[in-house]
Amino acid sequence: MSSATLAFLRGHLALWAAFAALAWSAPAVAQQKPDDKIATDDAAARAEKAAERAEKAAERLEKATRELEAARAALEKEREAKKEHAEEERKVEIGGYLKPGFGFRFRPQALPKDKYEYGFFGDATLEVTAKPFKMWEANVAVDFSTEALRAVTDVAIFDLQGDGSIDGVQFSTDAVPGAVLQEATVSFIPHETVTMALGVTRIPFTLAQQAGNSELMFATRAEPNEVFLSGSDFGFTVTGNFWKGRFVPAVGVFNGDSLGLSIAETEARGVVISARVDGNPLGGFDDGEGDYARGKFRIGFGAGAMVRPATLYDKTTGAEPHSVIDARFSGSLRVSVRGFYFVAEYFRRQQKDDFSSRPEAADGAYGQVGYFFRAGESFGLEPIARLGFVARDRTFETRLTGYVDGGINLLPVATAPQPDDVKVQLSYKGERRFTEREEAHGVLASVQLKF
Amino acid sequence: VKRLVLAALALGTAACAPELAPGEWGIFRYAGNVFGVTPLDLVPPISDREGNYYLLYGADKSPKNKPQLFIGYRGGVWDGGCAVTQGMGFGPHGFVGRAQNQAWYWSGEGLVGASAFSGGCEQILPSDPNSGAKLSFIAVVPFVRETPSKLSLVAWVQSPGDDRPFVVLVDLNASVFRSVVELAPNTLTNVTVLGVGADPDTSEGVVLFSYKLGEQLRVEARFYDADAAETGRLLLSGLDDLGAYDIVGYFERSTEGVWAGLDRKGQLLMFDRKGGQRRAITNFTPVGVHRFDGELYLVGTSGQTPVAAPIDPSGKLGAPKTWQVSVDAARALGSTIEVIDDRTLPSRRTAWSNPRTAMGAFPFLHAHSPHRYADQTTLWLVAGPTLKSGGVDRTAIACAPVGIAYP
Repeated sequence: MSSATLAFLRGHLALWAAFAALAWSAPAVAQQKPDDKIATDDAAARAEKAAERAEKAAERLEKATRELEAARAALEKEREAKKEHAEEERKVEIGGYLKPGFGFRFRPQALPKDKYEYGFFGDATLEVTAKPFKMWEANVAVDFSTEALRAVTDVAIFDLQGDGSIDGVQFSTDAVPGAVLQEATVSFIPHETVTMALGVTRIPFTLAQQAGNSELMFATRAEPNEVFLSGSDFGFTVTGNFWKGRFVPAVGVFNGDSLGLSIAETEARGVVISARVDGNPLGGFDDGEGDYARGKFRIGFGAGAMVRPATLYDKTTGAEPHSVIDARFSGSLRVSVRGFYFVAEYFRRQQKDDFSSRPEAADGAYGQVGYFFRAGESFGLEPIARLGFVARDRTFETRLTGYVDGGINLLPVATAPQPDDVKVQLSYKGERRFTEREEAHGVLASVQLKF
Repeated sequence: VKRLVLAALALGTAACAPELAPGEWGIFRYAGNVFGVTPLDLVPPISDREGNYYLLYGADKSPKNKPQLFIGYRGGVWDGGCAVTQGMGFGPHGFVGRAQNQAWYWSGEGLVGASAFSGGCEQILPSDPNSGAKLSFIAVVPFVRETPSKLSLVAWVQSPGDDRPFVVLVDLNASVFRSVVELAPNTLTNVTVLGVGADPDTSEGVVLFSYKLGEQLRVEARFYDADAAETGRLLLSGLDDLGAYDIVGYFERSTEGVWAGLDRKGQLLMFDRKGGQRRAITNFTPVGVHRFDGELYLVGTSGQTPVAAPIDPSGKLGAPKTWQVSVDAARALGSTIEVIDDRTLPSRRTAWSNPRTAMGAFPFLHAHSPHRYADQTTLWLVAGPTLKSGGVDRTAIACAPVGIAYP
């Protein structure tokens, strides 16, 4: 029962109480005229009627009181229900994915020990989402990998002059298993169209970067994307989502430690300001890469920019401030229809400083395509292909690298709400270093299970 | 919004264009002091991919002073204590390559690696890993192949007991020889290297040498790929008067495969896989053959003016033209320059009066090609005050980026 109903009942109750008071007052008025018989009879009759009315009023009052009590009880029940529901909403979701696999790589020009490389690998992510209060959300994602970190595995000293004195120290590093915090954010969602997030997150600069690790079409993001931006960063983002994903702007401020700006023996100070806008005039896209919903035709255009004006300081002395500006731009095109998904992105990076007279620039782009279809009642297939390139060191000695990837995703539970919850992937990865005249060919087989 | 868009466009176009106009100098950094007065025995500086500077003091065939290598770290601070060399018959031939944060130079008969990562330098394979015999790098193809799996160069090495040198592929990561092949045929004797060259675009290298076959003196060019595999030979005549390392600087290769080099007698030697020619330069005084952005030039002086004559891809030498950018760069130094002394930090600023090119008569004039530091930008050395210490002249040198263009 609502509070409006309760107010209405209260009004009724007051009205009936007034009637009752009026009825009880009538006999007293009649007793004030005892000498007038007719008047007395009339008065007695009126008093009787008044008494009857009073009795009825009392009954109605009693009824109204009962109704009021019932209303109160209902309201209390409603409050209890709401409280219970609110308690139910304070829930925590745990999810993630596991992705073990096997890889083989052939590098024809490499040293004998590196010519053929193969082995099993594993990757797993644990995701926790909590919604303790209305409009507040927390997300944590930790990535466990067999090659998560580079650690110093050997230290050697060397004597350059042959005079017995140590001239330097050489460190060897190697990849070791470990856990990496991919995401740890607290989000405030004041309205369904606006999300504010603070913490560790991927900078929303490119489309590939916005897709979660388990939502990728290939086992990894396109190499060009990884060259221009990789990993997560500390920062604050405000993301909009208007007209059901037709217009998605995002702005953010980040520490910028993931950009790799620093020069040896220097420390960079300066935040990254990022912005990205996606326009999807025919409707928003699903999260991640691919069109597993086999939806209607959609097309999307996007552009991103990141600027980091920073100051470099010498690590030892804390002096020698130098200004550096690192600017990165991206543009994207997406098309999706009935299981077909195409995305192309272009990147550019430029870095200038006030001391070297040598600006640095790099370009890169990739295009990838996939087509998801059901090959049986619950079995899905998705052929995938990708091409890309990166041109580094454009301003002094360009190094051009090309990438060719292709393969197929097998989706054995394609009838699930998320058809890619189980994904078996067989893919080829090719890399051609045009400038260095070296190439590598790899084959990957992996299973991804989301939970 | 309009201002932001314009600022973004300006930033985008600015990064595409060179930062320095031709003849314009960047920031001068005080590298150190070297023996002598200008023109000093210095090789044009180079940089690695990370932007660290490498300066090499000590000229070819001038064993009076030990070579000295300076490393200028990009973020500041210099190392100047490296003086590794081998064989006192001659000094540094020049830099032979660079990589991400390393550079290598060839001095005397020694190959030396310098690292901005570890700081310092190290002689590469001074002795045979098997026999322990002392090794002489009598020829080094001046190109370091840097790939994800390899860091290598091609060289000729010889130990005192060897009749002929060995062609080797030097693994610079592991300091081992990946390939060792004795120079063929086994009837040749008295091998003398005259000059070397390399083309980083094609990974091709060349060694010009003389030898005796019986009593006959021959001069031959041998061509190599980046794996030290021989890809061609060419017998050349009319070069009997050339001695060891008589090609100044290195041979440079045109896009059509013509190699050009200048000998100590001021004659231009050009050859391809089929034949060659040697010609005297009479209309100006040549200094060296340069290759910049794929084009070849013979540079020198005509009177008191720097000149450059283009060499077209087929090997045809054009008429010399005044090298105005060199003149402009010399003028731009003016009477005083501000130099940052960041040999140690915190840095200090100092003013040098009478700044002048530390090498050659004019900026960019050298037997070696200027290094491509950035788009249309090279590194050059400027001399500052000269002080007498113990009766010996010591001159301060500073390194700076400078815009370069050829006529």
